[in-house]
Amino acid sequence: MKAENIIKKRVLLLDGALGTNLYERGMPHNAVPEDWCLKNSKILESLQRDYVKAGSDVIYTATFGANRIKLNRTKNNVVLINRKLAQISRKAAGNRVLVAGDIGPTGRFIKPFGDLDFEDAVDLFKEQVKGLLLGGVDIFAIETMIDIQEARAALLAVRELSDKFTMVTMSYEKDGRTLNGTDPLSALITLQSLGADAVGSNCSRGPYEMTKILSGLKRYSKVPLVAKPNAGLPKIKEGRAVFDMTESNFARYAKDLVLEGVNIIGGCCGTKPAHIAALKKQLRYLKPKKVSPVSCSIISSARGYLDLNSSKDVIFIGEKINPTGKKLLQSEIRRYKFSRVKSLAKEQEYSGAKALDVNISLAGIDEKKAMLSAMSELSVSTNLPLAIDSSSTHVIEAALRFYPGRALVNSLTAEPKKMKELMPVIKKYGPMVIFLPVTAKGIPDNFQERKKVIDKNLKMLNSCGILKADIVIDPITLAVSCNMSSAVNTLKTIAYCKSKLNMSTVIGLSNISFGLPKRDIVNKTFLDMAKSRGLKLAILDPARINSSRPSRHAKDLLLGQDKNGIKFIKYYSKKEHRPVLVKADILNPKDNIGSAIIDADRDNIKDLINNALNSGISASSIMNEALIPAITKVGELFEKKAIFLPQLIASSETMKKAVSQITPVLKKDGFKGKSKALVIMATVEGDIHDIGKNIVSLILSNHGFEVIDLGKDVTAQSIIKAAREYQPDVVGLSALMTTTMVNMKRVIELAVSEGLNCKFLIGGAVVDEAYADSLGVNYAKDGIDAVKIINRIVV
Amino acid sequence: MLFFDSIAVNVSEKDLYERLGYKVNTEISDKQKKIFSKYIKYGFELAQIKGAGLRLKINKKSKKTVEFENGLVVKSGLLASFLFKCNEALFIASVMAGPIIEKIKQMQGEDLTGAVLLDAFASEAVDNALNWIQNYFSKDLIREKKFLIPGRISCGYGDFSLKIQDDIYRAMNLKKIGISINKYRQLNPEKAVTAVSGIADISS
Repeated sequence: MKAENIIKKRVLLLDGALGTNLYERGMPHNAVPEDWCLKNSKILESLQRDYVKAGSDVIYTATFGANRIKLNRTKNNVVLINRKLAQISRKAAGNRVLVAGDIGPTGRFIKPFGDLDFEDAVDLFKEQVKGLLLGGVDIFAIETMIDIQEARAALLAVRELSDKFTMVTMSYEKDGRTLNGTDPLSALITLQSLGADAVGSNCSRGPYEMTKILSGLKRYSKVPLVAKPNAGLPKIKEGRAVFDMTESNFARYAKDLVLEGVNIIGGCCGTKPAHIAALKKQLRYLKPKKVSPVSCSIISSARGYLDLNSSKDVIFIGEKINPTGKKLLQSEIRRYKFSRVKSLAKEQEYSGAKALDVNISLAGIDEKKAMLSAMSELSVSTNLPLAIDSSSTHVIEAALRFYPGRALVNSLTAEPKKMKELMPVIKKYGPMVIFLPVTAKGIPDNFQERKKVIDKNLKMLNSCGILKADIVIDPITLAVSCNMSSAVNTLKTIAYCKSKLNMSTVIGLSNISFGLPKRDIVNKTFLDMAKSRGLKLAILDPARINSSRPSRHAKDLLLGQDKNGIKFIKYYSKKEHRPVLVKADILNPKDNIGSAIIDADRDNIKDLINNALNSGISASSIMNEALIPAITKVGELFEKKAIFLPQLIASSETMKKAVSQITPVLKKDGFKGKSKALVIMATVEGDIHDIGKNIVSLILSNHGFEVIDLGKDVTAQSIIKAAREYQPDVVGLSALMTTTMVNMKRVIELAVSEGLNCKFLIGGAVVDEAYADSLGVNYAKDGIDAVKIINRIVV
Repeated sequence: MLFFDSIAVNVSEKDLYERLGYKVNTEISDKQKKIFSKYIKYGFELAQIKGAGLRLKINKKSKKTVEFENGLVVKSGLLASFLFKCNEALFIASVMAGPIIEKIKQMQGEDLTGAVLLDAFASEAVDNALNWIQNYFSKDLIREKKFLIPGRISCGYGDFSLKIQDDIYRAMNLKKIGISINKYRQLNPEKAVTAVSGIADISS
């Protein structure tokens, strides 16, 4: 009996835990389970027979850690161990029960999340797969994965050696994600598109929590869902961790799991043959939901997904990761550096992009190498799914193989050569694909011809197993400045795809406005028109489109009602920018300045001071009656914890700006400000941490002290030399480490031996009052405290 | 020995604010909140967290000394009592490897508020990365009928001297994840941390 056939009739029942039961049957804690099982095959066989008796349809081989990394063996030895262990299970299973070749994690993270090369990981898993096949397994179970990339590597290893039914189960944490951040839906989309025959979860959680994890996946699942929960969560009883869920309680959750659409159930840590027997009994009365091929227009990344049907609005795909016309980006890509790529990704994400188009093609570079590096960087720096944009099939194939999600391929055309090359790649890796109605003759001129190409090729794609839901049609957007009917052709094709084919469409938006003035207006107008025809996706710059407005003149142009765009060009070349008027609140200028300091309004403080000066208020009055009371108030608020550190610093920076604005006027007015005291600040030798010292310096300056900042990692000799030169009232020393705070003592001892009579104030994370007392100096816990203490000891 | 090139940690605004002194009576205007959130987002943009974990068996321990399988001997009552029930220790490290450290330095002259928020973000992120690494090892340990004892300690506290940092650095080969160490046992980049946790048998 095949697993697929059982699933059509009833729930496929897996076995329970091996490890926790083997420990109970005598396996020592420090044993390598695979070695121990080979030496004690009778015990393993007996446990597996107990599962068969309990009603399991499938038993797992004892090969969870039988990979080269965990076993630390040679390749041949790994194949042999897997083969022998599979043979033991084969014997225990007999003819009526299936044997699943168990593949667990290697224990290492794979690039881009760790240091293990992806292809090395695939090869490692292939060794295991070979052994398991030789041992006669019927199906495969890739389990307890926390790294989606490792799950992909294992699945590819199986797929490249066998077409046997393969389940992949991930292990999720309390927050519903794997340790590596993958959520259940992203994992399902990624794994089922890569060819997993069943997807789900095992270990980590009990059946109740696992029901919640798998909840809602059914509607996106083309394959059966799997649940192999623990016997509850481990509890510490009398100093021992125990899984104490009874068989009947465990089996009770089978109903909830089946209702959530789970078709394959078993047990993980803590479960015993009795749990499986109870499940078997319970499942007798439960009819599972059918596994039906669902339409699934979803792309995914390692840590997120995008459901194309989730929004009525047009979904934005960021276009900016493309070196065309971007010199800085070109220069980085040529050096295979990708910091600009990462920042462009984030910038677009914050502006509303839900996926990112990645085009790295540049003359004279190794595009495959560059694309893989970009994928690697982007996979860890953004959660957005990616569209792989390349004209090279080799580049697309390499990117699809490596990408830890389900990508969108940009693009496939109807050109026979392209079809022949790209179709096998798409079938193997299962991405979504953008289809352009371009033939060997080029781009069809009008809507009717584009429609014919789309209809003909859709049939062919469907017959190859690429369904409508896997395809997004690009109706082709050409510049309206070159062809006045271009926009109309595109809009008609969008409307046809939506209303007649019920298919998603995507446009490369900015093509439409090429060669025109006010491109943003044209783009925005065209986007709105396309949206009303049913457009689903647009590749664009999200920041620019968000700040643009549509216009009637652009609409006329796009609909071909403004011949050669004469009216549009005339209208927009006349339009002038009107200066934006800034309202100056001059009702109570000093209060406004005080509020700006307290509220840390760094953007407006200079204008507020200028307004006050223009309204006749003297600079000294602004300083003494607005700025100083305000910054004093900030200190009070900080002490009361009514504001916290970032607010204190932001207010201090606002004050600094205000003081720099008003100082030249004060000098002009003949105001001779005198600093309250001179303070030298330094972080002591060996210490590279200086942010705390910089905060204290800023606060002291704002409170009327003159500060000379010597920087960080300053030797005792340099500090003393500066003290001799500037004759400060106070020397402030900072240290963050226990190994460097001792250098404070050296500074103070040197000062004493040289007869300097300035006062010392020390602070920093590891410094406290007691240490200051031991040195006979003062201690300040923060900047505001430093102001108070210096006021007390000097002023 | 395991190395992690990109650890997915989350840094919540709440935890970050609390690190910077936020209390129940602290009031932040929506405008300021928006500005601060922007910096935190920027932190995520610039961050890349690497990590490492090394399991070492304990060969011998007394009240004040712990001897590990690699020959490392640590004289510390604090560590010895922390590892009292353990037969193995887990040495862990994390580092903020992205351009964020350089950015914090740059920003200190022109935008100290942003620098302080990014600095706190980086500290919080490397701390959370240690939690992540501990969690990662916990999962494997349960299959070995072992568990990670709660908490962790870092050298530099009590009698667990910072001098041990050199030995930890070498044993964990932290150079591989871009960390260097100076004569004062400071790790560089400055947002790099090491810690020790203990592994015990469930039956213990």
